[in-house]
Amino acid sequence: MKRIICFILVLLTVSAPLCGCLSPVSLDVYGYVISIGVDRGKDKRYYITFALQREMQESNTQTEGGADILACEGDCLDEARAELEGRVPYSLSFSRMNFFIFSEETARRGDMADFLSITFDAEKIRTSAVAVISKGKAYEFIGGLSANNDANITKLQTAVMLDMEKNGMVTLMSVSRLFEAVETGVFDYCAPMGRMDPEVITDMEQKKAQAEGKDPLEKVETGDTVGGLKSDMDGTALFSGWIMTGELTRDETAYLNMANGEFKNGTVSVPFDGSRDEGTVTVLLTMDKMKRSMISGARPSVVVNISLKAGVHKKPVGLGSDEMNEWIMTHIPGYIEERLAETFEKCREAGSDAMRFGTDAVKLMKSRREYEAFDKKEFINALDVRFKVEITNTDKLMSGEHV
Amino acid sequence: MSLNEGRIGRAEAVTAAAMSMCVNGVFAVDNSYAYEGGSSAFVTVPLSALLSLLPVLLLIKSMERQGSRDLAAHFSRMTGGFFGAVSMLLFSAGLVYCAAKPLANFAQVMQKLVYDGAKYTAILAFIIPVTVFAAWKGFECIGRTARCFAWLLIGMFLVAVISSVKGYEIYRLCPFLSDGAGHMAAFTASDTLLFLPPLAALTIEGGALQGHSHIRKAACGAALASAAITFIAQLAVSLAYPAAILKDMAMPLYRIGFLRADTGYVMRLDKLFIMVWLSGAMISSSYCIYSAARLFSGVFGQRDVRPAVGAVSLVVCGLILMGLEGRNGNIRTVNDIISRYGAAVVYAPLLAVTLAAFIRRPDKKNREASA
Amino acid sequence: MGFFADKLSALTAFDKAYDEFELTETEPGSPDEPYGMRSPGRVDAASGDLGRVSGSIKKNKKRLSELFRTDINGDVILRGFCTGGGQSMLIAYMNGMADDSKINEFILKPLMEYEGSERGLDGLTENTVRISEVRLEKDMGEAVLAIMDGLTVLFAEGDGSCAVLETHGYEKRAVSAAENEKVVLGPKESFTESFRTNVTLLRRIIHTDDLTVESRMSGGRNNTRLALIYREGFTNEKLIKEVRRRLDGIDVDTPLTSGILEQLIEKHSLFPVPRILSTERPDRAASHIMQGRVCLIVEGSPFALVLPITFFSLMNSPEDVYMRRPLGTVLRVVRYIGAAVSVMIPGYFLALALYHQGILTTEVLSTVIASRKMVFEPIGVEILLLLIIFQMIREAGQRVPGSIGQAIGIIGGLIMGQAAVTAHLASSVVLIIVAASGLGNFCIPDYSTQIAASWVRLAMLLAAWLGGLAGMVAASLLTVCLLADMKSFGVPFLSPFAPKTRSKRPLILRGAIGLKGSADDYMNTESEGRRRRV
Repeated sequence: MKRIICFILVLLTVSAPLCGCLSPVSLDVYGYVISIGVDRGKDKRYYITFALQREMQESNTQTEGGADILACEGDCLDEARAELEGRVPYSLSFSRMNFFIFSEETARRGDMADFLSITFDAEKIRTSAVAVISKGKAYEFIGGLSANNDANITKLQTAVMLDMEKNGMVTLMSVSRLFEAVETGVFDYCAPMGRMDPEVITDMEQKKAQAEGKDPLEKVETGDTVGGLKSDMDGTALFSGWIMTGELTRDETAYLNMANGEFKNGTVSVPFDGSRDEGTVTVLLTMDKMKRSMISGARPSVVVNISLKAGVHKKPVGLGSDEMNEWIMTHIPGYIEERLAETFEKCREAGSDAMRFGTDAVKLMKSRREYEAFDKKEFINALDVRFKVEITNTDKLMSGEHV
Repeated sequence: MSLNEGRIGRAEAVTAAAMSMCVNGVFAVDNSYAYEGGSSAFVTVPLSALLSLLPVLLLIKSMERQGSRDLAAHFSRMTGGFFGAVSMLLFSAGLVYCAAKPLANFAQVMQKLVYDGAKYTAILAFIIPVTVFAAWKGFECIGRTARCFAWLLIGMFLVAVISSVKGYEIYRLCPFLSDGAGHMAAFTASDTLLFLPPLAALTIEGGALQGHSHIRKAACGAALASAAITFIAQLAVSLAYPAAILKDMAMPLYRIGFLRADTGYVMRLDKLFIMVWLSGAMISSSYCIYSAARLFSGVFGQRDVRPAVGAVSLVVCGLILMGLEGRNGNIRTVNDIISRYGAAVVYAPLLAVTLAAFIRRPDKKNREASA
Repeated sequence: MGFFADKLSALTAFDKAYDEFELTETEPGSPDEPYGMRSPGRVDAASGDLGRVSGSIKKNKKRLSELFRTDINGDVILRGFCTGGGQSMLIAYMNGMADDSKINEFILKPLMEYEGSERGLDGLTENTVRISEVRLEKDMGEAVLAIMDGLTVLFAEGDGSCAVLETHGYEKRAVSAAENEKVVLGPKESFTESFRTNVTLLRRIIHTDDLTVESRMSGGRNNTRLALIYREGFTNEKLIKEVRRRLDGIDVDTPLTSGILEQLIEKHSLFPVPRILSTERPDRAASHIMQGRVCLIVEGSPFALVLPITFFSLMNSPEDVYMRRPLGTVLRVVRYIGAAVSVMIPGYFLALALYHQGILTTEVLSTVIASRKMVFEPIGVEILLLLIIFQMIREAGQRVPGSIGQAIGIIGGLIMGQAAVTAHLASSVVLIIVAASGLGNFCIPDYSTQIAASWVRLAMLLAAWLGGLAGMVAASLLTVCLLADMKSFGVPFLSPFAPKTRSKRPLILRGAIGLKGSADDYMNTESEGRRRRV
């Protein structure tokens, strides 16, 4: 009797972990989606494009493109996924998703709200993914990003974004910030804006021409871009809630980042209108600090103090350093202040609090009631903003002279 | 000396109790209640941890006054056989809740966010047996295991919090403490349900801790450590997400790495972090299960704790399964009621026994014997 | 099945008396020591069964002939002779164990030439027999043991005692370099199979006057000589008593070696992690004896057993102390990293590959997918297979002598690995992981601990296969619980980390030489107790 009981207990103990198997799936059974492109569909609501990470090719294999692209129509992400999984020998995994790319059309229609209402948890998509708006079709933009036979498509796409962010030309905000903006109504989201230029002659096209014995620059005309990817970043899309309401150029994006304290460094070229020959002064600006002081009330106002470090990269010939320094100190701050104000006005016209002044207003609130009564549009329309820019000429500092 | 109770040093006792309190304070908090009015959890939760120290210090003082070696003896002597058993059951209910809640939360989050297509019971098949095993082995095992995992847990916790620092914004805390003093006080009081049982459980192991002064020092250490860690955790979470989103979010500390668009390697380690924190939850549950079983054995004069460990484990398993399968409807309502008013059930027996001890004359004979 | 039934009964025997020996948990004011188990009486072949030595040479000779079956057993020599004074005498010794030349030159010759009137053995051994170690015995059993041990026993007519004379002369291996515990800096000597040599090696290192070598015979019919070595007045008395008690409980017929003795005196010998350190280095054994531990040496075994030990003792190498502190620290850190890598990496990789692909970087993911393209077996089977092959290569390399053994390692490692990848039996990434795990295993200084680590690695792999990182967490927690619960002769296995003790000595980093007090405080040495009581 004892032995039977022991046998049953041992059997139960051994079988317990076996029934605890947690549905493993080997990593080579998945196709890893890096980016999702969303366009308006013909027969269904959306035309959804998936860019998948390829496995690393052998060094002697030559193929075009660095990603596997799948696309089909569907009313939602799950539908498109189900459609495509039936046609490929793997399942789609979204655990490595980095970018949602919406066409400008879908963004302006407000389709992002519907598309992103998926349960991110269920799809295992991280909310650190970034929403990008594409001028033109999203699938064209995705195609343009995956050229040059670069196998590591994640690194490529991320590097493109981060390089632009480093130069202040792009604002990177994750989807979790988008949800926060929409849920709380305190500020507005802004997304990087991309474009695809079919005229760009990529490295791969040059190599192909060379391999055929042709001149790789045979078809180039003045003004064409040679080398690199067909897709790149071209500014920022402004939002009011879920809907895209405007856009900023690259330069305006830099000023937007300055106002938000997220500017790292970038160059600004200012026409030199002194008594010397005409030309421009190019200055490399690096963010030092940004401080905002808000005063609430019937007519709220905010003063944005921005400190920047400047290094001269290009100046008119023959201009001395003292003269240059004086010119920089008198002209550059004012120039930047004007550009900042223009950028703010553009945001205000678009009904977007891209500069996130709402977050400063919230800091002055005393009660929940005040918070819930906050109307972002009214606030932005009534807001009086003044920008004060201070420049430190690092070239002068390097020479040891007092500025 | 009970089987496998042995000796337990202060470091192990503080670690076990603090770990249990930290796990409860970070992973078992009812977010829908905590963030109802705003982001004040970074004040209320650590305050709860500190607040639960006061009744425990009073309890220890009362035990010292009457010369009770541990809580079981104190219950039996101060409130008598029947009321002692009732008090024990009420307090044990608090311990059982503290054992079940974090594991249930972890199992849910793992099922939804980590393991695609796996069943709750399959995930529990890994968690429950090891938890019960540690409780079965006794307090020495639990305390020493806690000490082994403590630094790893703290390290992973700090890495998770610090690596997300670029995504924190002060405005998410604003309006500052807008919940209102009433809501904050109510939440602080009710949240002690998660801190008081593990802290008071140190008195259950009074014999192993070798004296009331050690128990007192261990309790103070555990309360301070858990207050510090829960403060950091809740502050990080409140700086990462606004209250409106936190209210509906399960385990926000897990998602703290999702803020930024950075794709660095450390930002992808959220699944690794949650697994390491799971080990803390398992140790915490073992501690609570063992303490409840120890109290039960002490009150009913059982020499061996292990049968009681088995029984308490079954109850905890049942609660976890009920909590998981019934996240909507009646079970959710019961869950809400427990998280809001359950603290009263735990306070009642402790206050009763403390009062009784102070009202009665001090027992000098027992006091000398237990010194 | 009966074995499992007994184990299960032991596990579920609630309310039984606590019978674990405790060394650490016996601080002043603590509960009484739980000495529950009474030891069975020592079965001693020499405890009165064979009676006393007779005064008659004839009777003694007859007795010995019967005992040793000299009619068929030609090893035992019984040589009768007369002294110059006409007294009959008898010597008995084991051919091959005793030194013939010593017997001839220093026993037979002087006695045969002796013409004095002295008749008693005490007088004869004092003045005539020229042997350094002599003792008189009245017990026949002791005489028999002495003969079996390589000594010579001398009987005299009319004397009711015998003289046991030191004449060891058996062949033995010379002291050589340690094979399994190699160090770069430090002594190279290792223990041999000779009991006397091993004790001598220890005495050459330890010069304190409190060093005690307590010789005794093991229980059972075989009666192997062994020694308890400790510092009298320093080593905890209760520990010594407990070791004696466990030795008293031995009653086996198999020839005792250190490995068998280790299993006989250890509790719960089913658990893979060793609780007794087995070392072939005298310097390592001496270092532990100086810290208050007990060392056991067994005749015929080139290993000494040291107890009690902790996890950190198993992970430390004597070489750490022979180098300067930063260098020793680096070695230790690398060793712990190696051990962690060995145990965790295969399971961690499998968990990520099967359940948590999001954690892997894109580069690793793509490389693994590409390398596994034509591999037919699932990734878990692949890792398991490679681990088994690695163990096979390791075992084969150990069994095959000399340069062939080294070649097998190279052939197995390089050529087979490359061939396996080319034949799509394995992928390159998995091969590297298994190789790294194997190398990490070799970082562990103790051989038994290496094998135990392999077990744990396998458990982690299976846990990861079934449950991913959750499975690994459960397995890790279970392992740590078992280690935390384990005791080595009353000392918690994870001391001084868990439980935290008063020791200021660093655990992983190399501490300074000459830290106050040579013993770890969890050893509860006598001087520590005296210091605390004062």
